[in-house]
Amino acid sequence: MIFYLARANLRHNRLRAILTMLGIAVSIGAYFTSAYYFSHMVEGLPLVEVKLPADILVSFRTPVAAQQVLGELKGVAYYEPVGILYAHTAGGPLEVLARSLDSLLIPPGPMVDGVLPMEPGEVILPAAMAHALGLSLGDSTRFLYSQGRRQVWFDYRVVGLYEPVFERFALPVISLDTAGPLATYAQIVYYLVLDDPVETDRLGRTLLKDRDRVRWLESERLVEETEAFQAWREHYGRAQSSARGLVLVLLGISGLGVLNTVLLGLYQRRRELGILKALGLKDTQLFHLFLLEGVFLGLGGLVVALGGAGLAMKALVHMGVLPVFGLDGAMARNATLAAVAVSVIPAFFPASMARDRSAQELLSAR
Amino acid sequence: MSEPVWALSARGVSRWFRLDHQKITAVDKVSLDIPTGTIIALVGQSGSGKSTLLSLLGGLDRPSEGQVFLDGKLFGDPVLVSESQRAELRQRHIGFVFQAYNLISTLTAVENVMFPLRLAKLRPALCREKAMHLLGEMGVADRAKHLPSQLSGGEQQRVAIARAIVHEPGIILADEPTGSVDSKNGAIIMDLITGLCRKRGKTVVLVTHDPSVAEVADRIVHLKDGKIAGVEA
Repeated sequence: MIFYLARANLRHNRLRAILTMLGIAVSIGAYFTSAYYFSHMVEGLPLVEVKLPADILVSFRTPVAAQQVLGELKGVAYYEPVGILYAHTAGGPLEVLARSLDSLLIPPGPMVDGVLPMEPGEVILPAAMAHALGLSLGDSTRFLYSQGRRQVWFDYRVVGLYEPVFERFALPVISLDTAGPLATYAQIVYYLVLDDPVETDRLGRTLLKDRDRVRWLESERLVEETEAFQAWREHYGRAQSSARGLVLVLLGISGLGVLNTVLLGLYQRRRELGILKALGLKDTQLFHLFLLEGVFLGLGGLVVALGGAGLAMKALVHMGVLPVFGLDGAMARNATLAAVAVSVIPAFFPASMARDRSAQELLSAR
Repeated sequence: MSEPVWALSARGVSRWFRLDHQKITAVDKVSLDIPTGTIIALVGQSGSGKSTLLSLLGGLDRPSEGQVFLDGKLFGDPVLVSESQRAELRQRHIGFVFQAYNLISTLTAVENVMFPLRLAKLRPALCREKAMHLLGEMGVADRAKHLPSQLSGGEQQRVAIARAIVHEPGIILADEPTGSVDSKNGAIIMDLITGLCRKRGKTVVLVTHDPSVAEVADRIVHLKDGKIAGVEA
């Protein structure tokens, strides 16, 4: 009965109900935006190619992002971070450059003989592999590579032997991690571990190209890892608090919208509410009627918000604006709670007003 | 010999309001017994307290003093009867017809008539059947699916009468039932109320200032300044 009345009333005042639902949807949308940002901000940061003076491959925001991109390169098996350097700077991310090409020369295992490759065409091999192939320092060897139906090969000169840590070929790579919106940048050194030597060689040539043109930034102040993390956490916390505050304000505004709608409904319908009471509708039923109207508004707003956010996210992911579709169960659950809160809590006041007035009082309203 | 059980009975009922620290007495120690199956008219000038008395008799308001009995059971009391109890008794025993029709604007004519039955938790299909039957008796069955705003004043009042009697209450309280319709429709409305109620043995209490409407009553109670000024058979 109450359900029926609530539905009829909202249907009758559908424009007002729709606008209120949209208000709720907007505030829930703000929650989704905020939650998405803080859930996926790291992945969501745009991948910027930072062209270093040494032309060191690319710079990725995070190892995860690196994995996503590098995963598209055929043959990349996995990557292995080997060290992180942090630097604070007052400047933008481009001001923070590679520490040193020395880091490029971190071998994928301890060297047992020879030197690191310095020129294209030079290669270091695992000692056991060289032994099996009957190769020693200075020898040349050919690596075969299948490229579709064709067989291609590259000749290498063995300049060093190392004790392999990995079973596959590996290249040390430096990337920059801007660590979010902070002026804290991390230089991550990791190995790209590749399945095939040709790709290893290609990347290696890129890495080594122009190595002499690397310049140092004297203004950098290296900080401890813990200090960098601490600063990051503080900034992150402040940003998160601000976003939460903003979402709460928006939810509050939409709650006021619900209050306005329900209160207006109360004032407009006082005589009708009096009739309902005269006909035998109990105070508690009238109270629940108002709450139910609030719930309908909230759920309507939630459905619009969920649908809108889902479609918008899919579209943005499709367009490449967002990295991943981030609408998950936790977000949906929190949004539901928020929708119920912003719709039911404001409805309490008018519901109580309606409940506490006698039928005669309501009937005599003009 | 046992005392007769009245359909409605008021015992020393008063109702006053406080307005700017001033006590305004709308009904002043009224005692009235209304026998079952009769039509009683409450007449008086504007401000004489007739509508307030009707509200007290119908349990829409709580008396400041005195008691109201419905079929011999305590119905209105300043303290003893809760709003919830009165709501339940109203729903079972009383039907209201108001001057301004007072239909629920968001419900269609048939849904308005179904409402008291839905409150009584009857099956929706049965509610609809009963409501349609009664709307047919009222001559407005063809307007069943229309909202109140799409009906004329006379049609709305007929729907309101149907709603007042659909759940078979023993008592019908009508506050100026013809006050918002023209004389022709007023006569039709009164014929419907009296005809249906006499046929069904209902007790009717109607408030009016129109002598021609009061004429249909078995008894006319004159009110003045909140008190009974005289009773006319």
